Amino acid sequence: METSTLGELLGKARQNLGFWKKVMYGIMVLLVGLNVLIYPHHPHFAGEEKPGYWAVFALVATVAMVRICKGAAHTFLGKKEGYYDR
Amino acid sequence: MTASFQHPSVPFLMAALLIPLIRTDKYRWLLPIPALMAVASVLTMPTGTHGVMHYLGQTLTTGRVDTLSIVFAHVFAIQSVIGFIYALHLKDRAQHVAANLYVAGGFGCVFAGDYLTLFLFWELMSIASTMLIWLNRAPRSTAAGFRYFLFHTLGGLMLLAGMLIRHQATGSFAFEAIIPASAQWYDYLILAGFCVNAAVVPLHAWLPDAYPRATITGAVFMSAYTTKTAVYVLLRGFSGFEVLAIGGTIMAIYGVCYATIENNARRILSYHIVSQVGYMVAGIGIASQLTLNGACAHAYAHIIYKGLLFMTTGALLYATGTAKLSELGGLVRRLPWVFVLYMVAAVSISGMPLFSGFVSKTMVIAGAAEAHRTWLALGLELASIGTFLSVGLKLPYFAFYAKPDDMTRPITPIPANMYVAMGLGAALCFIIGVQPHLLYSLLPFEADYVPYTPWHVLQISILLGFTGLGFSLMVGRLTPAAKQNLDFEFFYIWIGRIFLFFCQYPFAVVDAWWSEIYRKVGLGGLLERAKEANYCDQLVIDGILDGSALGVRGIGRRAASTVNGKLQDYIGGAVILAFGIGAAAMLFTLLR
Repeated sequence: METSTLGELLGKARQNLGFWKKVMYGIMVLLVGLNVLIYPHHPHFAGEEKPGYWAVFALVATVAMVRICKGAAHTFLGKKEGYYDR
Repeated sequence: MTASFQHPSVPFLMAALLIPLIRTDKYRWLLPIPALMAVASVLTMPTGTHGVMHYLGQTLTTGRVDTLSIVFAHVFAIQSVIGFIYALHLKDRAQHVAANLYVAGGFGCVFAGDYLTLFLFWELMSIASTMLIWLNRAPRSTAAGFRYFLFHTLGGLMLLAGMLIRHQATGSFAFEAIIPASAQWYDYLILAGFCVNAAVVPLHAWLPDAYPRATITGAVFMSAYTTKTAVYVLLRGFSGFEVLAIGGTIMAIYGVCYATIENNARRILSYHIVSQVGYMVAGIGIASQLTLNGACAHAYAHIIYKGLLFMTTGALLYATGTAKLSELGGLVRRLPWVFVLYMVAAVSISGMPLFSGFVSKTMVIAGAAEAHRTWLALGLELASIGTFLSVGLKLPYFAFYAKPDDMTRPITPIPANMYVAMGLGAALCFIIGVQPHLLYSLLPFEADYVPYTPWHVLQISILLGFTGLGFSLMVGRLTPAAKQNLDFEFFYIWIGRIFLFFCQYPFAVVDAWWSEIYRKVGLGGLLERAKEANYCDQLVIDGILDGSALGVRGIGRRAASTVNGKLQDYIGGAVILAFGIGAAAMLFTLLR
């Protein structure tokens, strides 16, 4: 079932990491650009109609979630595997 | 028309009975047949009440067919076809029996018209799913299975107590919608029982504890039926309960937070069940027509993509022998199709346009916002971000990339049937995503929703894109650690240990004292009474009885001595008697 062509294609993707990053940044600029033109006419959240609102929300939420959850895991949640087997 | 209702559970129950009896292993090719029969049954069944039975003075309704039960039965049937194709290679009969019983239980719950029928199938599911954990045949699976079963027994008992008290109060086992304002405490008991199976925080910890320890194919089935059956019964009985609106949103966020820090791929996915079921529970709690439809649609889409997620990570576990991200990585060139199929499910769960999650999840969020539940809607948006972060980016990155290409690790070839099942799941994720009207036409409530508006597509694209940016910034911090994270099972286990402690020590000491007191005082007194009773028995009662018995025996013995069996004695005796009578008669005559 393994077609090596697909495998090679996916494997190569990371050799061109710089290229893919540029593509991603381009898409993000495009999305925020579109956000200036397309916005909700009946905003449900305060500030939602402003361009970039959801971009900032997503970025801040991601960073905060990783910081908070990983912090909790490093301090009090994370235990050795088999913690209950004692 | 009534005659054409064929209960979809029946073929599965028959399969469970027959599988142990068939001698050849070729029966496995027939495994999808009950599932295909269930699909045919669901597609042709007429609405109405069917399968009414009378048992022990109760009326059991096994076939309540309406638009709500059909939408769940529809996806249950389709996922059972996929699940049994995925399990086709498996030679372990016990697993097939358990899976068939489990699926039969799921259908039974969906079509149950009363609490009694519901309870019977509810418990069938609970037992069969415990088997799917135990059949993984590892010490940790055994322990997890016991915890799972104990917790589901607790939930089942709450349901049982609630429905019995309800019957006492209302005189009926009817399973109908309960109006929040008039709900009694026993209704809340039933609700708590349902919430155990829906994995509502803090009653959820059984799920990430048990599912990663189930068999590879067992987890695929379990991801579909237990929690979604609970969503169905909540939709049926408890829509509009505020506790569900808030509890569901908490579930959605709580699940993704744990998924962000987990290491085991199947445990990450288990937390995502908690999170995704949270959207449905929140939709049920908010209870606008749009959120209720959203809950149904999301349950449908979720069963398909979550099944695919468990199938692809199951394939990863099958091929490499581990599901821990810290032990995986660099596998994309070895298992490219698993990666691609996984990503289809991952973008579906993340709600990317063109895939199934987008047309269902946004319905719940839009419904929450339109119902002016702004904070809940914002919480659900936050959970979407966490979903893409952990299932869409973290899991595939650390499983398939992260490390240099791993070309040396021994890889067990994945059977073709597993690829076929995964392909079917992926195709459905895409079809639902691009043809949402196919799903919307099944929905039971009246609500118009158009998913593909420019703003909806742009908003979710921005959310996903900038989550990706956040991930690329934080990827170093996200490296999975070979650790286990504490959750509410910590409290369950401690409650269990405290209970055990009380049994072993204080209760045992009291028990020992009591035994001693009983032995010294109670038993001594009892022996005295027994002696007196014995005395009375021997002297008085036995005296009378034995005396009469002895008398009867003496007479009998003497009588017996005359009966010695010698014929000449009898003849002699008779002659003497005859002479005696003759002499007496003569004497009598003479004396006259």
